[in-house]
Amino acid sequence: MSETTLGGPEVALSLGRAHSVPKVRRTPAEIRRLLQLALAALWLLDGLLQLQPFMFTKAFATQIIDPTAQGNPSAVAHSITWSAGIIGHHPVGTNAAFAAVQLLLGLGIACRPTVRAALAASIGWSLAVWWFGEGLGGILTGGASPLSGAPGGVILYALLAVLLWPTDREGPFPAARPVGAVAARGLWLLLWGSLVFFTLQSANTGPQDMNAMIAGMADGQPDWLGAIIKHSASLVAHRGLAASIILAAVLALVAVAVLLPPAVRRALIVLALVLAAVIWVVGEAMGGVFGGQGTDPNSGPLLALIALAYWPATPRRPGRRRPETWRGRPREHSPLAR
Amino acid sequence: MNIPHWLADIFAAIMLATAAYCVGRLVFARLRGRHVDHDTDLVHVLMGVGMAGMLVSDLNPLDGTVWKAVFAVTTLWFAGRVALGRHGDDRARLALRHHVPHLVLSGAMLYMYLAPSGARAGSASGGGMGDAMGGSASMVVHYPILALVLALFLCGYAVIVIDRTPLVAASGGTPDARGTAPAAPLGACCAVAGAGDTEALPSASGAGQDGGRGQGRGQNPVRSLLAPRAANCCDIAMSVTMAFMLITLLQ
Repeated sequence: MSETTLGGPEVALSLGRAHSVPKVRRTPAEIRRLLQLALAALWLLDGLLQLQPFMFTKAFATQIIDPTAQGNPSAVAHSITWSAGIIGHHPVGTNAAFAAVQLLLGLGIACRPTVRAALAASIGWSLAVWWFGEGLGGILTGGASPLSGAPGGVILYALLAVLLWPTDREGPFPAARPVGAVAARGLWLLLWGSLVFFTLQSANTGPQDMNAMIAGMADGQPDWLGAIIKHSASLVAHRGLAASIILAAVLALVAVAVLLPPAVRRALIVLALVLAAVIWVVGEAMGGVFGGQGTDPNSGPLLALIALAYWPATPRRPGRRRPETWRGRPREHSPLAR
Repeated sequence: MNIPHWLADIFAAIMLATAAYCVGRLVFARLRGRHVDHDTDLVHVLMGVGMAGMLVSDLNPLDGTVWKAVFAVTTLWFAGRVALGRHGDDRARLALRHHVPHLVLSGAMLYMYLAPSGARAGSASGGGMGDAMGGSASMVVHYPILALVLALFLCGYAVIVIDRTPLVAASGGTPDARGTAPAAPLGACCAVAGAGDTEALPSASGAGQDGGRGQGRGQNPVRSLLAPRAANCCDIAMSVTMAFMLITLLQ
């Protein structure tokens, strides 16, 4: 049995002998740092996905960027077409730059001295890509759906950068520390509430709409993933409206989680994690990474990371206080307490 | 559709530089009578040369079958060390977190040689990625999900090692004064890079391992060369490059 609880050297030594060392609970700062590292890993993965051969071709502009203009207001569509034109004319240079930026963001967030600068840069980069590369996640097209990645995977990076911003403030859950509990709850409600709205848009509630959306993702996937997607699609065939209502109800339940007591919230956050996994596998085909054309893992992993940032902190019981020192130094010198 | 040559060249150059550094590390450690993790550095050398050969087939000195055998052995070696570490004392269990990632790295190398099939005949790597790096039309990759899982693991490992590796070496002072000593929890996986290093034991971190013996010792270039902090940089380079190669296998 492995002991994976973090918190100090005594825990590091406890691998495989959990019973031999007292369990030490992670501090909120340590939990936030772990979430930051997960975000850094996703940025790193993004950058590496951007280095795939397909991205260095003109097809990246014509098959990935340009289609996102479709259905958007003309101002947005024109800006996307403009950026796709630039990328199409200089596919190698622009893509190398995109990949470099994303790799640097990942490395920057992972590196303690640069975490703030990298998180701030990631917000600007995410907003730019959300506009010019994802067509605002399709939210203005009337056809956006959580199953297809709405409101856009990349905007969730920006949201995570805000929610995981390093700060000394206290909060009932990690995401509440930088912006305050009320604002953090508002952001959660906005995110999951918007997913409810997108699910119930008329373009997604037709008898075959959800089936077509899911089944369309099976093409080009490995057999096992294609089989899962096709089977899932068959479950909602001719039941689009009912499936949309059920999905919206579950999403609404998750949305109100932040207003409920911690015990209930934990259960609903677990539900959110399950939902994120289902969306990622069934709706997003794991970001389409198996086709060689996936530029990022899409929204599923990011929704899961956001959900973890809202996991309620467990109040410390009297008599089980964490040691005030770490390796003989004040706790704030702990490697994760940044 | 292959990756651009310049990109393959860059990654291959990084790998060869990493391998060369690890050779130098082994040599200097022997000359100076210092203790380093020989198995880790040796495997880094093999991985560096192997990956450079996969990226640029002209750089490949060995047949693919030989590489498969080599990385099968290294995988078994680290598997053995992990198995022994699980039943050892606290120090051995701390080292376990260092050996598990290297077990995965070795396993990933083996996977990269075994997974692709149908690559261009005559490829220098003989069944590995070789010129087919980037996915030729005829190449089929077995168990692509494993490539994704390994790539995710390596991205996670890379950021954890970066998190535990300070940008600059400590210039001296007592171990406690080093502040950013990243040992402990997750850091153990990389921090113990120095577990076998005589300089590393006080903090088991990658930071200024020489600082514990007094002011100014961190300025010595040879000591810097042998510092676990530098070894961590090898881990980062290896992990990121390998993750890139695994992702390229996904298509």
